[in-house]
Amino acid sequence: MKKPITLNVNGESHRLEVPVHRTLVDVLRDDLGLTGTKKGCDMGECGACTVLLDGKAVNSCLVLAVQADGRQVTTIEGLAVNGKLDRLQETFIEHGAIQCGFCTPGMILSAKALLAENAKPTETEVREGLAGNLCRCTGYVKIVEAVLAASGSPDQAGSPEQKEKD
Amino acid sequence: MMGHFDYLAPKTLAEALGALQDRGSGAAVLAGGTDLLVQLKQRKRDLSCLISVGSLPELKGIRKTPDGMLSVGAATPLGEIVSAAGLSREAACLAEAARKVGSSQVRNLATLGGNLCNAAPSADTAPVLLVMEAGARIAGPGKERVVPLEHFFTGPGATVLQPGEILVAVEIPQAPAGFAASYIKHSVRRAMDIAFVGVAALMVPGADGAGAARVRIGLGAVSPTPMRARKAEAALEGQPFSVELAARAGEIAATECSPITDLRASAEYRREMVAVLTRRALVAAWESAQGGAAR
Amino acid sequence: MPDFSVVGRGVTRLDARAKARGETRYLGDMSLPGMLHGKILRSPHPHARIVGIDCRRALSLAGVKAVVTGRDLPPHKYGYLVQDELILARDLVRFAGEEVAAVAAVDEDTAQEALDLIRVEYEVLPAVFEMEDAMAEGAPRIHDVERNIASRVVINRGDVERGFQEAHLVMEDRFTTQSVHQGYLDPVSCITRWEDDGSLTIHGVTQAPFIQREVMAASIGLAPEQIRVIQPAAGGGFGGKLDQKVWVIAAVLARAAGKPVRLILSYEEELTAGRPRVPLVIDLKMGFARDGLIKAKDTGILADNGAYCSYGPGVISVASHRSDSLYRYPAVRCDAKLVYTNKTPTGAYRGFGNPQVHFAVESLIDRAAVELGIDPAEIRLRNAVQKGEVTIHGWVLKSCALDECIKQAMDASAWKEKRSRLGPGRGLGMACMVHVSSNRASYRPFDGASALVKLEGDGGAVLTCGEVDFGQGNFTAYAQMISEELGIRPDQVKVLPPDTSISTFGLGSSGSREIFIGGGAVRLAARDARRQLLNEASVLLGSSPDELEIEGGIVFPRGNREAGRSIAEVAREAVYRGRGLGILGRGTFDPGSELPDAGKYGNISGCYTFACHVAEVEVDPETGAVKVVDYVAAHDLGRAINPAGAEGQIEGGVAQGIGFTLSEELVSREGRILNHGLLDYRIPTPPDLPRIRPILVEEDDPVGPYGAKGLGEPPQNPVPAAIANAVYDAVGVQFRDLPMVPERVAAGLAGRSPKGRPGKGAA
Repeated sequence: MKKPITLNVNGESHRLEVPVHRTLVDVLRDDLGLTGTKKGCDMGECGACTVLLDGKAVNSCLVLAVQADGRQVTTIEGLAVNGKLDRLQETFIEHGAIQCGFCTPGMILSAKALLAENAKPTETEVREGLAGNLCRCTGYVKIVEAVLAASGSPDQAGSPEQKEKD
Repeated sequence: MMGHFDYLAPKTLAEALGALQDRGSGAAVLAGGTDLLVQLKQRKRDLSCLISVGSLPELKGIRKTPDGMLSVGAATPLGEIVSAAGLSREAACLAEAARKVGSSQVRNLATLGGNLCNAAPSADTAPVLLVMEAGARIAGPGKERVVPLEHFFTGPGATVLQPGEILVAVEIPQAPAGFAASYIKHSVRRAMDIAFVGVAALMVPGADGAGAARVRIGLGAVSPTPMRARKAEAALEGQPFSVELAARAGEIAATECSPITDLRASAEYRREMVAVLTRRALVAAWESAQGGAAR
Repeated sequence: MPDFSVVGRGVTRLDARAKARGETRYLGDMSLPGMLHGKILRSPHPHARIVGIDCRRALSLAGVKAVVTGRDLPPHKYGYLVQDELILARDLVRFAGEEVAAVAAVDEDTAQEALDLIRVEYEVLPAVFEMEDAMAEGAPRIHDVERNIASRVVINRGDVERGFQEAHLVMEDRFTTQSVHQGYLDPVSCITRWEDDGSLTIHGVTQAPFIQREVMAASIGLAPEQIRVIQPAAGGGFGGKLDQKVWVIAAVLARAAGKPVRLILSYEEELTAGRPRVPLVIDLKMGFARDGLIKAKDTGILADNGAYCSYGPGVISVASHRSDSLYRYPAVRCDAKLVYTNKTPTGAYRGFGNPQVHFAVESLIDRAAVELGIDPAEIRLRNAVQKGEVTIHGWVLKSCALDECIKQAMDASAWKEKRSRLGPGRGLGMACMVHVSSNRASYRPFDGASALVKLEGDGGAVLTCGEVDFGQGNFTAYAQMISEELGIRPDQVKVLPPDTSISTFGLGSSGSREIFIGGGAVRLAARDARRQLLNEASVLLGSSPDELEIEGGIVFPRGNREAGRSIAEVAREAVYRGRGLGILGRGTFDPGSELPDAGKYGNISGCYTFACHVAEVEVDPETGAVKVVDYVAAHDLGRAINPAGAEGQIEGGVAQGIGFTLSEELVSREGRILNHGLLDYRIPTPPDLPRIRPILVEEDDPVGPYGAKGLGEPPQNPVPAAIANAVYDAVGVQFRDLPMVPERVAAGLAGRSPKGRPGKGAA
């Protein structure tokens, strides 16, 4: 069974005809070529496929594309505005929060949703907010630093410049 | 790969009920999908039709009814329940349990109804709803019925829902004045994990302030369904509260449950943890009730 | 230490921006025209005879382009160290998850449907799952070897018996470690394509492109040079992407279908049929003098190989003796056996046998310290090897900052104030480690690396080499080295991932060798490019090369910057003058390691690294939950080329170690993995971890580039023992079996006072 749907992705509207059993992650990647959304475990357990659906972070492998019909989807490709990176993208780069990078798009989108709800989270709140995003490279240390730095939260660790002087 | 199925997105509850009736046994209700889609991907289920209830107005939202009842639509995402903690003290208790499910991504999809209808013995929202003596409002081909949540679960993955029925809402009655509740989830990871044991406790201090007039204890992951530990409750009611008494109630609760050994933990360990965590949940609820005014 | 202008500075990773934008292409993001999708049918039985396979229904399904079984293939064997595997099983399956057939179809759904249509008739055979059972008389033979022992390493050095006789204290215990998965999020994958000339092109991530093609060549009847491996961006590896049998399966599928084939494992396949860590049973006996000096050590190791060898023989070789160069051992003995069982084959994972054995040794030393009334830090300092020494196995320590690591970790963790002085249920534990930064035994003809640095007409440089960055950031470190030598900015350097038809030979990412060895070659290639650049400039400027300086992209006669020419200009001129060749720096680096003898004596690596970790834990004595509340990791890394990158290696390695210690385990029953998803295979999430605190202890190594040594594997090695020792400090019980999940800890603590201080107990 196929269904016509309209996906609003990163501010652009796409009319598609999709088999109803296809998940949002597959349609984003295969039909729209938006491969910035990563497919890791495909079971909602690693967070690599996280996108924003109407502003909320969701695992796009657990959403049927037809369920996203008419809704707003934000992927990592939609975060920079006119080539200017989102503050979180910048702090991830500056703080060395990126290693293999496979978790990065999902991680940044979860952080984006977190900061939208809680502009100045504590370190504990950041860790809880990112609990659905696994990273095997970094131990999360620099990721948490990057999110705190982007938030301007008083909990933030030293900036990279300060640390270099230590 | 999930196999091939039809997908229907009815606009009203009546339409959804009709579709469920028409499609028969191969049809299932799709709410958040965080359990159902995984089961389909793992090929544990084979369905011919998914009926999405995620946008049915009758199943959405959290509201207080004029009689003080908190009504939570079955298709309300857990994330929304977490955010609605400020609505009432009952809402705060449910929010505390809801925030222990999965991750924020999962909670933004997963619904309260899904958590209950999936009927995992470890469902995090169940123990706290049991102690708040919530009811399940069920719609079907006939008229709606309300089943006390304690009778809603019939076994692992099984509920009282009959073919053609849909869980519409969970109704939480106004708890007695001065009550306090707690939920303790015990798992290896602090997020994205399934409870070895979940314990909820609710206490209503008595007039003399020395003990609890009402005590309710809910247990998860230690019997075929989430359960109340009534003998343990009885041991506390009307008695002066003490940590020793709470510990004794924990021991009683451990004898009331019937855990199994599985991949995650042994039956023996689960039973021991019921004793420990029941005591802790009771103490937490009691202390919270004592400082209730401040909270 | 000399100062450098780019090396050792905070330089942003070259690939960070693209990764932050989601623009980086991993294998799963790539496709080729006409590409098919492959899927593998796996055995449900741990041991069975294949009576027959019927593929007719699968072949007739619309969209299916090829179905391949073991009987369609020549019986070539595959295997890195021991050739004991077939590409697809023919007559026998030896583990649940073994590859039996493969399908190529127009899309993944169709390929999956086709798998369901293949009928395999099995005759189930008796299987054996425990090592002791596998070695017993009359046990089912999994391969044609005595007592199912696949490999054995025996080491005997010094007079062990005399050491024990002279010892004041002899401690003895059994430690066990479990199988854990490498846990990268980007699953094993590839795209294979056969070219018109009969050669094979593989797009895929491997940690060692040149080695992988050598290993797989014979199994598909090609010469290694007929296989071209092109590496896309890599989403982690940690040892799990060294052995890529999946590539061979995709290759035979592509040949049968006549089209390119993409094959990506599901995470369930990763967890049930990957190449997880080799679990060890370690019987350890150590003798100590009254002052804590080690007199002798005797180790018996049983290693669970699973059904095929993969890297198992290499892992037990490391397990048998690598940790012996941490302290001054007068006498050691080890008998390590690798045992076949009907379980998922095990293989390489960060540390390669070393984390398992360090867990045992560093735990037992802690108990000895308490027994002898010596501070655990002090007993380590008394035994610690020193710079300039040659260890018991002939390892030459040209640099060694173990003492300094211990001291800095003590300071940072407030060891003296906190050890044994924290409140109930809280404790502090220490563990040290030694590791190599290359391994002459892993590839005998060559333990080095090579690199080419081409100068571009825009003043930038392009590096090609056979080395691999699967996320750790060594490519950025390489760019810093080139930038340092050539006086250009790091972001003017392009580092190309390996392409075996273009890149010079390299061994890739294993043995913690990418900075020390790979970097050594890169630095020399950059120096060669610099020499050529100065020669070319000297012609243009009319002064001799040794009178020239380079700064800010300008080459100029000393003291006369205005007269200079830009590097871009010189490089462009060089292209024309050099008839197109231009400036092409070549570098090769061999650290001068030696191949150990049969008894494992010999200076196996070009340098050695050391570390000291201190964990602080909180133990819930009733539930058995252990929480790591603080973690300090001091590493002797020679010199950090990129400090943030080095910290990242430590933080990530410690996080993996915490998972190994507290939450991760592939649980199997009757040979079948039960937790085949990331919900029950519990990789730590952000709230599960403390803010890990790395300490970079920098003392230049005389051999390594800019003094640098390796850092890839070391951070995981000490973690289990550091945590176990902290739990010991907290509750007085030492746990000897991993993982220390709550139920196991609670059982160990039952009946014991949670306020007890370290005693003689062990659980």
